[in-house]
Amino acid sequence: MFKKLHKLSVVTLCLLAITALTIGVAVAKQQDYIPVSWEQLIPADYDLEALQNNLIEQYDSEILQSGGAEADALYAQLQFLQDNAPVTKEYNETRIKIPGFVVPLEFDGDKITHFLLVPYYGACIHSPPPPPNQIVYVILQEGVQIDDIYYPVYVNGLMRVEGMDSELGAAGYTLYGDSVEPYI
Amino acid sequence: MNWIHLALKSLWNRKTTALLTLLMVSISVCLLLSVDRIRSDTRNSFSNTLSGSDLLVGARTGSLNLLLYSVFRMGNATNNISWLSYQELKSHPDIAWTIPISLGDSHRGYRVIGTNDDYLLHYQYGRQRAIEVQQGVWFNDVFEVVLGAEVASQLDYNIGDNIVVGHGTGSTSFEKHDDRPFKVVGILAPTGTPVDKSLHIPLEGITALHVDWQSGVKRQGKATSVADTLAMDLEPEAITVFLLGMTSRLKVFSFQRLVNDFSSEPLLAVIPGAALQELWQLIAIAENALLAVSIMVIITGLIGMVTVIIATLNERRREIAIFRALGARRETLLGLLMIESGFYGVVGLITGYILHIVMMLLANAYVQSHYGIALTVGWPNESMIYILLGFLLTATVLGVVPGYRAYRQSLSDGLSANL
Amino acid sequence: MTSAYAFELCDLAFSWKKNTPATLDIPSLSLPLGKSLFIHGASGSGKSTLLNILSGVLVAQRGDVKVLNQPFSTLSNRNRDQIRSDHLGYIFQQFNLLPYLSVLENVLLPIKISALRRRGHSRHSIALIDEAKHWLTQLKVPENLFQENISRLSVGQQQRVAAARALIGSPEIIIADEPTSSLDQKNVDNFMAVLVDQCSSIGSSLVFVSHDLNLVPYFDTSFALQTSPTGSDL
Repeated sequence: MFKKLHKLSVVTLCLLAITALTIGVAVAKQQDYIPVSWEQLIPADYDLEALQNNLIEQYDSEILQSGGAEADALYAQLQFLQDNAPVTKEYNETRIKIPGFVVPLEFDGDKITHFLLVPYYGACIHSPPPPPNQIVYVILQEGVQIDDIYYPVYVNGLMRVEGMDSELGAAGYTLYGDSVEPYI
Repeated sequence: MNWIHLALKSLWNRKTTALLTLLMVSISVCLLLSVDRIRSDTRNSFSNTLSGSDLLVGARTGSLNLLLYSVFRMGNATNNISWLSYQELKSHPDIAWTIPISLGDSHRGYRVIGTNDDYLLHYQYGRQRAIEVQQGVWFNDVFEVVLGAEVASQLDYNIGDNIVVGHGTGSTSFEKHDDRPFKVVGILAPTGTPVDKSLHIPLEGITALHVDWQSGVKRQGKATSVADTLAMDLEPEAITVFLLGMTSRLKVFSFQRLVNDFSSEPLLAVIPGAALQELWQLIAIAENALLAVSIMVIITGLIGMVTVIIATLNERRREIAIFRALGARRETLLGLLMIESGFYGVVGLITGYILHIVMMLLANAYVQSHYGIALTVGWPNESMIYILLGFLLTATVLGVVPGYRAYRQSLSDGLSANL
Repeated sequence: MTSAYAFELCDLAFSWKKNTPATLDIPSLSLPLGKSLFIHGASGSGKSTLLNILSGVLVAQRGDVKVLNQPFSTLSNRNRDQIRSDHLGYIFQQFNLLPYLSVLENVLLPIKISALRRRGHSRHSIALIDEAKHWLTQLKVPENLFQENISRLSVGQQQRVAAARALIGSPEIIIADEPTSSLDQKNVDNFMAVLVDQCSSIGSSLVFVSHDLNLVPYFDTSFALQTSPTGSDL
């Protein structure tokens, strides 16, 4: 009888130890990634809205409403501002965790290996699209299968920020993803 | 001789019933495995078709429609992109490369693609794999054609052959361009994608094809000779779609907006990956329904198996009485029947798997040629393995039902002679 | 202290359903070791029930049942099953043999299943298969039938094989449930002679149920079962 109890307690202790260890590792891993929100990806000193408003104020509102070449020119300039919103180097070479919606780019069979992560669903159809500092290009070593892209996910990985001086690549956020989890 | 041996010998004694039950279980397993395999092979076939392209641009239509006709060569475009618009768009500084494509002609059921050197340079499939010219060279002149691997093998064409291209798609066309044949100068390596089923000619070749045509009908009278055709300005007036790669993938959205807002003509730019995902989510309902049906079939098979075992209990009453007389316990009877149901589970699984492989191999030829989907055989994926393990466990555990009945029955029968 | 009895029944009562008159009602019955008992009774007298209780397949609601000094009334299912396996040989009226095993394989079953019987001290040879052959020979089953499928045997031969199976491993008790009822007269006498002979040769107690009163002389004692008021045997 006591032998049985002894055996049982040893087994239970082992199980508890393994569970504790697993949880510990998982928690530790979680703590490896710094949670980042989309606002944090905009440099603190950059205010797109203010700049755009400045630009608009330079024009006569009546001319704008009538359309024509001037209005087109303004919109082009506004778009230019948007397209060239700067990135922040704050999270370069940092392990981060960021939530967002997935726009798939490359598949490997069932799994998505390259995708764009954006702050809201339907970035393709919304006008205007998110500026470059609100898009993250995610590359996964092993793809992930996502059944429903209407729901947001968390991406954990190493963030790199490409420099402005690169000819081929524009300035932007690239995340070398380790894992993707559902956003609950 | 232990109880397991005895159980199996007993089963062999009833082999007709046993084999039929086994067949029932095997077929249900085969169905489940096949449905799952077809589903994943279909997805793989689709997603392996195109790689590395950031956007697909065509005349404004539905995004799925654009994806299907341009990449998968399924369905047709409703309109074209003017050459001028194409030139304007491709000159945008954020564009790294483009591949213009002209569709609409056919050769004996295979599609003819008008394109240029950019196709060879930039077209990718699978995991960033480029296409290769296996025999010969890429086209360099107006009336030259490069064949996809399947076109060459199925139609038995070789380098140097002259072929005639028909107007419109479809395997039969009553309007043929026989006067100006194209010479085969190259054959591509197989890719396992619709590229294999295509014939590639230069854009100028498409223009040249239609020189004597007006509104889809051939003009009467003498046809323009090859020499005269070549002397003409063969710059295309329009193309059907173009693929493009950007200097930075982060600029995809803004360029997509630009194309969609293009004022000169109605255009649509689509991210191929996103459109593919839309396709998956659309057919997910059908896929899930099929999966649910096959799981129902498995459940039916298991219920059938239990029913058969219970039904045979009656004829085995003497056998069970003998076991009881020999000292078989309640657990032994239970065990005997669980061995039997477990046997159906294990052997049913194995034979079901073999049946599935045979079926896939046989169906592959047909499915490949008609739908372009390559059916593969191999180990089931992870989630399927869990389902199969669950099936094995359930089959074995279900033996408890007849096992318990056997025990109750033996209690009331006892060892009596009234049988 | 080892009892000298194969079994002892005291104040036994059994009914299939509660509050119905008892199928069996035996104030007292016992059988000394090594002796043979003939039990007779008309249909509905509860013969089968009695045999089931003696073999430990059924438990009586009331009364004291001791088999080989083991208290069957209080032992667990498992223990009774084990005792039956180790110490009891059973012969049915017909269809004794498993149709998918050969004659030899059928006879071997009890000693393959019970380790105790396999180790038994009254063994005649070391190899199991020779043990089986020995018993088949004792029961006068022709040697050319040993490997045969049982469908090739006559009913009389099948019953002898069944007897051999019951005797192998020399169990202390042999229970026979009307084993001669499906035999013709000539076979009956042959069978009875050889069965009783072999049982006494190993000192087994034989419990024999039949409605054929002509067989009484073969046995040491006999017992008549009274028909129960309900008249049903099951």
